[in-house]
Amino acid sequence: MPGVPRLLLITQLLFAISMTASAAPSGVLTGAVESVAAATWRIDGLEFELFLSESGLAASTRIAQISLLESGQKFDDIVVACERIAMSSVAISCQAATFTATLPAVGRQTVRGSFVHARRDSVTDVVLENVAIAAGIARIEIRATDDELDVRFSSPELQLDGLLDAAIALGAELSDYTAAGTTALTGRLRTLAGGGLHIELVTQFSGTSISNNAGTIAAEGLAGKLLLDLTEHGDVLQFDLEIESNSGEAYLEPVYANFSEHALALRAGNVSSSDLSTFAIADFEMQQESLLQLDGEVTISLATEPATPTQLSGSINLTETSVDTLYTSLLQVAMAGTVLGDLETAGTVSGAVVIANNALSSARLALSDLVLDDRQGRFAVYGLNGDIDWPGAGSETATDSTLRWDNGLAYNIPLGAASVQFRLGNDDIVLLAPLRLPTMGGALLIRQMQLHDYGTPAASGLLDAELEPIQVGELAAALGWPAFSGTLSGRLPLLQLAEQTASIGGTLSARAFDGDIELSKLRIEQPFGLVPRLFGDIKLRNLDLRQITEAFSFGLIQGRLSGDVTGLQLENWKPVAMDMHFYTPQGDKSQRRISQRAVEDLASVGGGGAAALLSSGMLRFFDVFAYERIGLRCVLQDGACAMSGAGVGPQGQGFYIVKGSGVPRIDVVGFRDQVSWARLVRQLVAITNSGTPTLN
Amino acid sequence: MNRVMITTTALLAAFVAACVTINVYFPEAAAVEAADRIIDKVRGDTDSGASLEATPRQAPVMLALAKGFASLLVSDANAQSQIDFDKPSPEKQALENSLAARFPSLKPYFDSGAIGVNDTSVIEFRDRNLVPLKDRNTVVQLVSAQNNDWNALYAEIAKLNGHPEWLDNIRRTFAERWIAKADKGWWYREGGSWKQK
Repeated sequence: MPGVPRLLLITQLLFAISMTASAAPSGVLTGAVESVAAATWRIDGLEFELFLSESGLAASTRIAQISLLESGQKFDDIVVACERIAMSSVAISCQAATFTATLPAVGRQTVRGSFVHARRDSVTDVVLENVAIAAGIARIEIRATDDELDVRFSSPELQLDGLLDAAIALGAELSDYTAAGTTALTGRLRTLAGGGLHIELVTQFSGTSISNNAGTIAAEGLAGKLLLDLTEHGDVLQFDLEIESNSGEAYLEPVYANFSEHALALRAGNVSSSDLSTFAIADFEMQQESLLQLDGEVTISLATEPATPTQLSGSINLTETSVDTLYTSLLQVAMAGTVLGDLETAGTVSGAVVIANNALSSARLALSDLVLDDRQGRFAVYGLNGDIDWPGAGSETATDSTLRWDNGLAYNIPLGAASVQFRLGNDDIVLLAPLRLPTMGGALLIRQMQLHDYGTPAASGLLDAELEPIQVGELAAALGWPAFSGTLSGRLPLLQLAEQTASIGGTLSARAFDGDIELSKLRIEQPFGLVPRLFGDIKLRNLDLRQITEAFSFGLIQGRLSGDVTGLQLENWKPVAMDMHFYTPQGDKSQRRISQRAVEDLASVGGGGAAALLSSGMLRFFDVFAYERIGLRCVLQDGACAMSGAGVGPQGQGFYIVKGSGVPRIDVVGFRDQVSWARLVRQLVAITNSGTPTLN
Repeated sequence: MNRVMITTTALLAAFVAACVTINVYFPEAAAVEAADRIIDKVRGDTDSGASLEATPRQAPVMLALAKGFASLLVSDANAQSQIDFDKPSPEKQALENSLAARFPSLKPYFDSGAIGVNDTSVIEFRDRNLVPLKDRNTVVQLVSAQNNDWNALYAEIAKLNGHPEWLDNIRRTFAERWIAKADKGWWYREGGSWKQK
């Protein structure tokens, strides 16, 4: 940019010189001036010649060098020739002049043109025709007065790479960029009375590509219109810019936009910059068809190298803006690796946000029909509507936020429609009214919830929640378990949130298989983290074995079953440690019978050889056997189960899994006291899936 | 006589004490093996991993004896025996899986030279212009997520072995092994400059 006025100065100088020469008396006249200097320029080696030609008075001026003192730029060997100078008391003019000069990035060329100098008001008009620049042709009109220079130029088609080279040669700091494509260009450039420069540009470009070397700023295949109205004052540029493009794509790390799919209209008003890399935009509007409508006031520092990303600060208003566009083109990169880093999104958002150095510092948003769906299947929410007011740090002015949604999922567990009212503070959330979240035929009722310093190591929180009886059958279906019925309910009176650990102090009770199940000492660490961990104890009392074995397609067993799972520890929802003990309850009065298939199934689990025993001999004629007690215990540690059962086996060998009674009597005795947990699970899965026993 | 005994005992005690000074150095060879296994897993080159499992290396008897004898002499043998770079942890497992799941999406950009690994064993952009415009922020995001996982994995391995200060050695080992195992044509950055394998 600073190069442009220099070019004009030169032209002005040329005219001054022409005038001097043409004012000489008739006849052949030659002369020379060693040097002429002004505050900002200097001419060395000026020679002129005036002579009479066939068509009248002709003139020729040659200048060895013009120096621009401010920038140190020098132009050598400039020639202006006029075949016929017309002179009167009011004007000096030349309708057929030639100008020869060497222009930066264009080379030496001679162009035809004309000039008129009005003597009274000292106005000089110059027209240069067919100036070759940037692989195109331009027409340049110059009007010079004593205190102003006014240049208009137009070209039907210029090559952008050549234009960029010219701009660089004239001193614009754009050497880090490459460009390709063509543009039609018309414009006007004026010096201002108090110093400075005013430029108006209208360009119609197509096939335009621009990129910086690092590839952090790039555009390809742009076609559209650019309007620029720029004032340069000292080192400061002040401009209004309008860009429209209905094709191509652009990347301003980390933001990507496709204009072929959704045309862009950008207006940046009252922009100021002193280094062409940081721009303070007082008033901008950006629209990408139906996707995006933003306006506001921002300061943007472009990424010149990858180590210093583009920095954005300011306040932005959003009107009906696509969440998907915002997420994929802006937010996702910032959220890579977090629980929100891999979402499918839909819906629109309106409102206002304040951003400081790329970080959100406050937001007031209205959400409309949002979908947030984790591609890793951890959670989803559909039909999310409402208003969020997050005042950011150090503000007490937040109003209530409300959200409501049609349905959702948490680890495959379906959640129903609900609405929630809360207030957001700095890193705090406080629930304002109880939230009832319908799920699995019941509901999770959250009476009270507070999170403080969320997302920091000092995070703390409080939860008072209750599980209104839910249908276990639906839970089982969600988790891919065999279908069985029952209800689960309980109170989760306290949640402590510290160091990413959510501790649910409380007890869940389930009524299933005609018995009672109690989950206590529940604690979940990093529920949405890399490796979710769950700790707790489970108590099972007087469950109906018949219902259980039917539900799990296990060989049929009648009787009652109790169990204790203590020190249960799940990693990634898989058990890694526990003491799991299932047994026939003391004093059980129910009828206790076990089917042949169940014997085989249990034998295979316990690693005994009972199956072989059954399939031969007379026992195979019996379908069911009576038993005294059943027991199976696995102490899981380091991937292996230390197995035991319902007491030491016969002759002190092994352990009873089933201790039979009556005649014919059958015992299942386990002899393997260490079993790989993975293998045990595989066997159980095979049994419950196939319905046929698996033998070792 | 008694004094001589005491002195001798004291000297012996001092000698023994000197001998058991624990001096834990970074077990380069073990780290290389673990790095190779993890890199193969991430890159989906299960061949070498499978063959390792299928044919457990049987140390020749003499070598085993020699090793045993050597371990008697080396005072820090005890400390070293705690070190296991393949020590499993659910976090490590999850990180390895997540790295392996993301790798196929990144491979084309290793192939094209758009990205490469540097000598601290994180992925860097060599030339964004080799990535189509529409994919550029996706690749930026993938690289960022992959680096988060690599960094977490290096830290986890160091932590599992009780030597968080080994982080830099672990990074260097992984970088060396990544470069050694890189496909022909892949780029890497060493000492500030890009080199092509």
